[in-house]
Amino acid sequence: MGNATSISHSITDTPGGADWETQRRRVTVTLLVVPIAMMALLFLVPLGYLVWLSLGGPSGPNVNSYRQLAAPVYLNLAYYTLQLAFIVTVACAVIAYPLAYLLANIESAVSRLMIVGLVISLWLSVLARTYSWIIILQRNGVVNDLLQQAGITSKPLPLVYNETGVYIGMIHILLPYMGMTLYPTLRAIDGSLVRSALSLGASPWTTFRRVYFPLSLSGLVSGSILVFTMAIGFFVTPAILGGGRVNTIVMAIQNQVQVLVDLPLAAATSVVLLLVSLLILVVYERIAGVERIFGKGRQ
Amino acid sequence: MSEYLLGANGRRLLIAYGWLLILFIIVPALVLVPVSIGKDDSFVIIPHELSLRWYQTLFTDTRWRNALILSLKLAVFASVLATVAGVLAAIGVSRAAPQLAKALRLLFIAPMIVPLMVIGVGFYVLYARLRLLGGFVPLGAAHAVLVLPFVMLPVSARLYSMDQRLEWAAASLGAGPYQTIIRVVLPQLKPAILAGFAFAFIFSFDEVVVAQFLSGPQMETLPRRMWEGIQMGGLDKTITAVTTVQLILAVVAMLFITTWQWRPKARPAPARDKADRP
Amino acid sequence: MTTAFIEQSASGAAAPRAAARPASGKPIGTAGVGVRFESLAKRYNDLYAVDGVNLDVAPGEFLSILGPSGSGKTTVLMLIAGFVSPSSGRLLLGDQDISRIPPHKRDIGVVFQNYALFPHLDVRRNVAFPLEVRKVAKDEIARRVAWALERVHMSQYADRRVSQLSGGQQQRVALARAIVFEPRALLMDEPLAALDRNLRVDMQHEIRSLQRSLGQTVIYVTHDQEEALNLSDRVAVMDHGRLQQVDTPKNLYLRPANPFVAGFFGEANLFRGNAEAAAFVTESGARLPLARSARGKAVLCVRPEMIVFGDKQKEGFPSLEGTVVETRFQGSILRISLRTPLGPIMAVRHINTTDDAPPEGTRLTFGWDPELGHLMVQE
Repeated sequence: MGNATSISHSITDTPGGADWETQRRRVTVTLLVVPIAMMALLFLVPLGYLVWLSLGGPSGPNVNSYRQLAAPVYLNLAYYTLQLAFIVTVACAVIAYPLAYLLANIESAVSRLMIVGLVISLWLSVLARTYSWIIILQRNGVVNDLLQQAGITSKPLPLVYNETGVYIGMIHILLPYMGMTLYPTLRAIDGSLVRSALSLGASPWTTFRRVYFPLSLSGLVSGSILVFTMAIGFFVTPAILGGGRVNTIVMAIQNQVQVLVDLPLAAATSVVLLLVSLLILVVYERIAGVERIFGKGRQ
Repeated sequence: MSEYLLGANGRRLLIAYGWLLILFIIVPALVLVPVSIGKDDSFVIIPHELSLRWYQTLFTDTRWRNALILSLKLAVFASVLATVAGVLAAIGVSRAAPQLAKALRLLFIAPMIVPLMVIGVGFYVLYARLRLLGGFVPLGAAHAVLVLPFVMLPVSARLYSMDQRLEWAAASLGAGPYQTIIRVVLPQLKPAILAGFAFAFIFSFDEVVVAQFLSGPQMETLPRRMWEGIQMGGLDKTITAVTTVQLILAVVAMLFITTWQWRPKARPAPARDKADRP
Repeated sequence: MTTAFIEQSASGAAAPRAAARPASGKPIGTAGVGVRFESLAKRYNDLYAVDGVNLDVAPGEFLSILGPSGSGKTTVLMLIAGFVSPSSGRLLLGDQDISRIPPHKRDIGVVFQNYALFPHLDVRRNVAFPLEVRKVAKDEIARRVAWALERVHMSQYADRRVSQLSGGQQQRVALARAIVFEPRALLMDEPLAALDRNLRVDMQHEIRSLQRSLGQTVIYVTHDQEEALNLSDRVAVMDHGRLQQVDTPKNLYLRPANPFVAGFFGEANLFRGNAEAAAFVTESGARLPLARSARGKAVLCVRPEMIVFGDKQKEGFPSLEGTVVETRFQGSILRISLRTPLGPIMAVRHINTTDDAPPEGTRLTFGWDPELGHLMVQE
């Protein structure tokens, strides 16, 4: 028997060793040291520095930069950015809802292809997709060619380097995020609820309004928050497709840094935007839990 | 899966709508592929004469090639760092007390929610003061933080659906805490880690906002080069070659990951209890 | 296969090592050691999940811990496995105090309710896991894994993935994995709960004979009385965090320590009252004869099958009267509910004649052998 137990751990190795909870806590802390240090150094410190700079930096605490921000030009810019983000969000929701309904409820070739398409979209370069829209929408691009050949218009329409182009491009890029948040929610709706509502005599429209839609609301809300946040901070697409005619708050920040070279002002603008996005993040966590982004993390 | 609320016509209409949206979602992603193999300078979708000359430019022109190599290096550096940190973070958060876990989760996800421009300016003012602008490692580190959520999210989701009793089983069988993580937890996270890594890589490879602040004049990443080209009217067709390469990379990475994830399920279904009782 | 296994285990009980000896090399399989609970308690805030448990499990004993949900049996399991630390008291494995030893250094094999097999490893690697983490040499691992899989008749499934196995097969693999590293004791947490009934009975046989042939100490946690009675040398009944009784299956049924245990194993007619020497006086005033004299507040337990009717009554039996309220056939037995001055009485009769069931409203005289009535005196 003595030789047979030789493969066992020797219990006496650890007199009074740490119990499970203690040991587990210790390991958890060890695991978190590196990522937390990284976040502190490379995320909290830069943003903290930004806050310090926005409050006057070395020249003592003051709110001069924030006062500058109260100028009509920035208020208009903020208003315009929110409006742009809002319209894009609503458009994404309206376009994606029937699509997600289709994916969740109707088995067909288009559903399978679309799921692949949506997932691939999330993987593709934003820069490349934005650039594609220039090729498609420009004066001698495909869309204008088709419109002219069909006789709808005699001369090319200005579809890009303006607001139209920005809306088209932003909706194109943000739609998959809305779709991939809505789809799992709709998919999780219990079909027997719909069936029982119908069997109880509710019309399809009433069933949708009173049963299906309320059940899908959580996905719609979390998808909208996600898209709205991304739209507010979007730079690449509006900058390229707007052709300088569309200005948002993030473009103003870039201008403050690279043209005006007013770093405290850029810092103050960034801090305001930071607070807005953190607020949205907290609301999102309250409503949906951040793991829901991309529809993952749900059982 | 069946549908009750729409009539046959409604369903047909919805399917037609689906096809229309596929056009809207997929075509812009693909349209640059045929453009990139057209020989002349014009941006026509059906090229008259085929040629790979734009790809040749991409790999031979010094500026383009250097940008490509720099971006690849940067993406590898950032995504490896983010993967290590993101996996540690995900495992750590999954084991932390609920309140702490919630706060940490918000912290680790934040780089994805805070606008790139804000993070970019933050790094810019800090790095300017520390004289780190234009450095490869500082830019790579900044990118690592940006892409950490892309690793953290899928890995957390996988951990969340993992049976906690497996950890108990491992401990009861004699595995120490780190042995358990290496032998039991990590192997099961593999698909999620791979997906997170690929996503992080692709995001870093495509990132232009933070890069333009931090890279200084001497360091030109691929997206920055493209950005510049597009700002100048986008007439350099090499850009279409770059986007095509990116597209192929992304599709290959995604196909690889999805087939890899599905592999175990492709095996025959488990046999019934009674049939093969010994 | 099953038949052969039972024969083998029958001889294995006499010579446990013989069956365990593989073709070559040292014999595998160690007998278990004893487990001792000394005033073991686990408190969550002010709530005792386990309260002052004293228990000695002998080496090689099969002991079940049985209780309803919330009785504290799961906490006891977690205490033994090491995932919960006692608030007070000691837990000894053999003669070593393991109260504060982390689980991975305890050398207790645990079979979990859901099997907890590693989905990323095949059957062989699952069973090899405890040996790999102990850095056992490769050829020794192969030898031991082969031995363990053979013991549970899973040798031909070694290369399968876990997801390809049925519930019963997964159970066997979990068992093999828990014995392959020669643990000091085996701990099982409702291991058969997820299996269908027939398979459960088969697996009970196998677990029992495996335990016998290895001489392993098994602590088996379950809420299923039948399973506990079938398998165990002794059963520890828990309720409200306390041990109610630790005894052999027979004694638990015939000599329950208190009304909870009496009610937990099968049905019981319980009479509350006072023992006054040779008679038991119920709260309603009836005097029932006792086999042995006793005194004090007590509960008398009479099992339904001990109740006899009419002419089967003998000298010295209590003679009581009741009205049939309901009769029911349940397979081979007939259940009769009676209304009596002592309260409702339940009786069962084996159907070994063509007698009809007594119709509702029939008045019957009944009684029982005082030797079979069990008196539980309450301190």
